[in-house]
Amino acid sequence: MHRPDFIALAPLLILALSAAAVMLAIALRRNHLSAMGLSLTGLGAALTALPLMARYTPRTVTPLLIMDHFALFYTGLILAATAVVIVLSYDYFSQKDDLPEEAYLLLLLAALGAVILVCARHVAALFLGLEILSVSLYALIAYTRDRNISIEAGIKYLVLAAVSAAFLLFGAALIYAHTGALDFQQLGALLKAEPSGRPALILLAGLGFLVVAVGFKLALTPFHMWTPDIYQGAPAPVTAFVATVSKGAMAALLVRLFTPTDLPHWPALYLFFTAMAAASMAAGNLLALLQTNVKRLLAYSSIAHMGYLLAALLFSGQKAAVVMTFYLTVYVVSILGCFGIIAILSSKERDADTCQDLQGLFFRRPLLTGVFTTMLLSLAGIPLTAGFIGKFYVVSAGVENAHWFLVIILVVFSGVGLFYYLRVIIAMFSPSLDEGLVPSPALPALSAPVVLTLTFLSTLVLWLGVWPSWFLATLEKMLG
Amino acid sequence: MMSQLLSYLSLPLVHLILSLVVILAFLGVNGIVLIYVERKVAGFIQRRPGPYEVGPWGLLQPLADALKLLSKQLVTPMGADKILFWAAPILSFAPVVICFMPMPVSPMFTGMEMNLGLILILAFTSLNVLALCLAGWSSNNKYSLLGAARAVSQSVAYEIPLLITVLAIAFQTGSLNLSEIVASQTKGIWSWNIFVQPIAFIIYIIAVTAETNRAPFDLPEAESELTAGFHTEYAGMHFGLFFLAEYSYMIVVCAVATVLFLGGWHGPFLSGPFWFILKTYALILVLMWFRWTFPRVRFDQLLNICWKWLIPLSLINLVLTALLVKIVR
Amino acid sequence: MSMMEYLAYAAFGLYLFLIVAGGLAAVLSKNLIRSLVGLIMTLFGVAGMYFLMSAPFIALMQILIYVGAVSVLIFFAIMLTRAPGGESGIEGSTPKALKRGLLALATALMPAVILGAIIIRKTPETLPLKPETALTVLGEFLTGPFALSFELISVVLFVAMAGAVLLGFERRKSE
Repeated sequence: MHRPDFIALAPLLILALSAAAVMLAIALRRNHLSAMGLSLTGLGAALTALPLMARYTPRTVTPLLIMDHFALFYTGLILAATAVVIVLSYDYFSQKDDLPEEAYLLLLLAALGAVILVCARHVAALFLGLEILSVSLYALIAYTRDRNISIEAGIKYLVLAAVSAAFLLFGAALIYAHTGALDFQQLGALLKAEPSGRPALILLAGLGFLVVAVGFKLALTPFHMWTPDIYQGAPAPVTAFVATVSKGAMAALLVRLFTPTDLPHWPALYLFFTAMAAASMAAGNLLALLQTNVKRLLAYSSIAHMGYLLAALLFSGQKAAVVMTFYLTVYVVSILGCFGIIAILSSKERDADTCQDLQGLFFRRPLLTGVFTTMLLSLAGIPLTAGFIGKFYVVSAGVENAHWFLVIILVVFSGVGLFYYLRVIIAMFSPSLDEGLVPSPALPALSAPVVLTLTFLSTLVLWLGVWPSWFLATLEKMLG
Repeated sequence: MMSQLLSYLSLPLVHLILSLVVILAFLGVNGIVLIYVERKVAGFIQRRPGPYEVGPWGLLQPLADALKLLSKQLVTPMGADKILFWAAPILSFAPVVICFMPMPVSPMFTGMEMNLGLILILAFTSLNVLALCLAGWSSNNKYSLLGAARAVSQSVAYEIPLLITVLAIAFQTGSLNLSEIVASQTKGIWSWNIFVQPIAFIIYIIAVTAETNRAPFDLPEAESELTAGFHTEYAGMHFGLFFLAEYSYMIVVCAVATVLFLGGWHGPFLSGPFWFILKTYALILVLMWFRWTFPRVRFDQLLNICWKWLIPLSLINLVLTALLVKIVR
Repeated sequence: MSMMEYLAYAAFGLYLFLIVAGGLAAVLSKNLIRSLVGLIMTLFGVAGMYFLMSAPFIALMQILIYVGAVSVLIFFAIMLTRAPGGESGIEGSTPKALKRGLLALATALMPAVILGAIIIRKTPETLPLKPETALTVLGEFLTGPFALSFELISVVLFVAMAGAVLLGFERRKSE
């Protein structure tokens, strides 16, 4: 390793260092505020390092990682999302009397794992990043350990993530047995060189296992069962993290893995992906209709969104990176807002995740309601919000390439999705049913950073919805 | 005829089986010898004669002991897990045999020349604790279970300094092949690792005393607290196998110490195997001397010695070794 | 050298038996300790497979780490929990349990069946066995180009440790 390598690795090194710093600070003296401050400083430093090191990219650092523009963008997204999660979770964790500080340590390390995932150019890095991310998530999901539901969610995630890791390893082993390469670039080239039509079955099985593992992490439909339970059981900020950083990193990995392989070249795989995307869109939206718990509802909606993302990957071929990245960014911003608000509204005992908790929120908390509504509308894909633009790009890519089946499914089920998002919004705007009978829970005062973050998020959603061209142009310049 | 036999001998498989037979025979004899030696040494240290009734100077005593063990009934206690109860003694003894395979007894004779001999020995000696666990658990007896629990925490703790010190020697030699480690110590007595790495030697001896569950670290079978620890419920040859395994592990760790620190077969006047066995048994005498000199440590002391002294010391030793090796090369 | 070849087949069969029987024992036995013994058998079998594939270092590491340390720690963990016998809960032969078992079996068999079908349809060619990689080469590889993965593994272990301590830690305020 030479000096430019270390410079290229700066964000990872800073993240790891700040995790160590947080740990030492906790060991010396427990202080919630300083732990949060340290982690935010670390994230900020890593973020500022990104543009500074941009001129050293693209650079392959050891056979494991590559720092290119794609990695830079996603690293930035992950770091920013983690920072938002940390800001929004401060109040949430400080009302619990049970060791709030280590959450930041684990969040930082999980972010490190996610960054490794998006920089990976080798199966070893992919696996290690995935493990760092998953292992910290086990602990984070079960973090509120006085709630049985959290512990249950943690165990479920542990078992399923372990199974999916086994699939990943097995798939990688099969692929290696056939090609003798574990490097994405090499692998992509070798896969492209495979005779089309009748590829080697071992290779296909290996790729299949790999896809299963990725599908688990992204909660695409046949492998989506864990999502609602874990979304509901995990503490709200952690759910936000799972929904954004963990899935975002995995989606980025999907782009890296499958753009060079030229998917239509592999009919079996292509069919499998198409089926998964269609099933995710259908199942996610239909199952969400039945939910009264907002966290579960968002879980199902996230399944649907991952289906849209996968559709974008299938639609747009070489342009997939841009379309997916735009969609993912919008999705991350909206989901962060939603779960952030749930975290703010939550009390010491339980998360405010039922529709009753939100009933009449408008009359108590107009600002929060406004933000929540914006985010939900964006998730639903209503014009003037960023979600609409994202979906529009996906659909137009589909129409361009004449993928009518997926386009029709996407449009129909987006329409279905509208219904449950609106139900939450209506609940917020309708007067409380039990007004006067039960004193509505005293809501904590909003701190300035929280208000600023929420304003920033909703501005972002509206800005991208009204004037997306600048962001799109930047993306195309960076990734295209 | 003779040449045909010799050609058979050169077959790897025949060589392997022959070495196994030799090792098994050696271990049996070794067990008998060590029983006698231990009792005599204990006697001398405590100023009493030790066994002297059976045969001249009590020489036939171990044979009588062995006969007694062989003729005893094998009892399986009620509520014991029968399969595991029977498997445990075998599992305790079987790995030892493999540990002898890569031992360079002389420049000419090694059971199986292996580049990873050291790791092989470490891997298979670490299996003993598993057998102790199974024995303790399957006996369905609280003393056995407590003994097993102690055995685990003790051996897990002491394996760390053991591995680290052995690693320091491997750093220095640049090889895990036992023959090569011996070969690096043939330049006179001062090239023996005991003089080059005195700290490592001391840590190694303490750690293996604990690993083989010998006094003063014999907490898994502390008679005064746990009846007999993990083998409370074992009778007859079951117990005999545990006994044999303990003595065999002793000779394995002492032989490894001979190879790592005392120059292996290297020595003047006499031939290699003789020196090798002499050094090994000298170390065993040292271990016996420990046993009858030091009182048994308390459990917290045992763990404190390991975590607060041995592990940091061995780490420092490792880092220093690495630095020196880097400078010298 | 045909005898050695037969021996290799015999060893392969033995290891295969160890792996499969151990796996079945680990899954089917009602008693946690016996499951653990099954797991240890499987690990041994895998170590043997590494030996057969001329990777003795990996094999020995498998024995040293998984059999000698990890499974012993699992044993310790089982003993530390209140029920030393570790009898599993009453999951008898109710129809629901049966259905669950069948589903689990189907899920577990699916990859096996897919792979089996592939191997039957198109037997992969025998790969020439590479000679044993020298330990120094392996070490230089791991501390040279793959040093980063080394570091990342340590991060994984650290995270696991931190998480375990955190979740197992005594509460600050006793309730």
